[in-house]
Amino acid sequence: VSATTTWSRAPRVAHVDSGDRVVVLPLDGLGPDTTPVALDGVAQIVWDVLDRSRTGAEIVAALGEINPDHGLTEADLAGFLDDLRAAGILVTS
Amino acid sequence: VALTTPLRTPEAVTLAHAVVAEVAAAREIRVLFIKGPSAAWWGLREPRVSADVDVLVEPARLTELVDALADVGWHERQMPAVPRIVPLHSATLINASWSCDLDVHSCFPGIFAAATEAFDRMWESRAQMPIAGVTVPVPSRAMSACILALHDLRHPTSTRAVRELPRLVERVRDVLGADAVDEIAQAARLLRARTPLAPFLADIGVDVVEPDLSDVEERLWDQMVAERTSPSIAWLHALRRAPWHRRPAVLWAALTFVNPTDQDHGDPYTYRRLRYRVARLGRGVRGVGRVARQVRT
Repeated sequence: VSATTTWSRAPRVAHVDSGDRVVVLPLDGLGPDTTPVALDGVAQIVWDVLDRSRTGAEIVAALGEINPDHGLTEADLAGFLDDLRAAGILVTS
Repeated sequence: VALTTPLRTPEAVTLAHAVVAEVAAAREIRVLFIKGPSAAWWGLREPRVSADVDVLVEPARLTELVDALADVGWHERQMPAVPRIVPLHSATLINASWSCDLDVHSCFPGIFAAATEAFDRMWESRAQMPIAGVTVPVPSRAMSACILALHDLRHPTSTRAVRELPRLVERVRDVLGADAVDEIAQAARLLRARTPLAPFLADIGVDVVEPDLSDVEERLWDQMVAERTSPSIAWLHALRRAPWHRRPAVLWAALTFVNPTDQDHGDPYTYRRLRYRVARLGRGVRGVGRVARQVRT
């Protein structure tokens, strides 16, 4: 994960927290193939800590504080963040 | 990390609010979300899981909104032709991947102000309800209370109405207080719904001194209530309106009609379905005499 890239929730997403998971739907470019994305476990924690913009380093630190045993490698996290960006759920600056 | 999964109904209902609001806003179509989560948000009832999303659309743009929602995967549920006392001014939309329906209305039964005027009145006093991380427009608390009460009063014998209307009365009268009562009385007047709402208004302490409907409108409301209580009445109206040569076909359709949303009878080839049709036939014949009296009056 790039330590300096800043990650945020996309400004136009709908989301609902069911307790055991968060389901997120990008609203930009909404179409018949737009699919809600369910985030649970570590993925849900990542979503939660991005209630404000954070750099990659801050996300790693926050994950470690909330769940030291999360078991996610930095490569896994980088891939996950990229997937969410591609899905229109996160943005970088 | 799983990226896709089936939606649960509460999740679908919540997110569908955002979808409809987004689609409508992109085309500058005015919509208002009614019943469902907005009722709980206004404190008019306890939060509970809804199975559908109800939305009022500015009447002239119903078709445009339905078409726009089709573009994002929501299509009209196909229903068999059923006669109605009042023509249907709504569409039910479904999406195979979402476990809820969208009910799009251009007017609401029991509101006798012209549909456009009623919508404009509700739009003027709208509020923004936070849901799914966005905000969506909803009628004012008073207008929302009128809609909830009208819905219950139109289905007076349903288990839900029997349970919920007294709770709505209690919340308005005992929790929300005198200001809310005044606002509801005013909203009922603006919507020309005081006569249909009279039992509710009386229970919250508002006297409806003069009815606000003509005799014809009042009879129409009575028939709309009867239609929900006894669907046979709508078929009888259809029978009376049909030319003589069409009446046998209308009668057959009435006696054999099966609601496709009745999941217990969904298989056309089962013995159970055959029994249901026979029972339906019997109910239809017995109902004729009872509802014929209502039609005559």
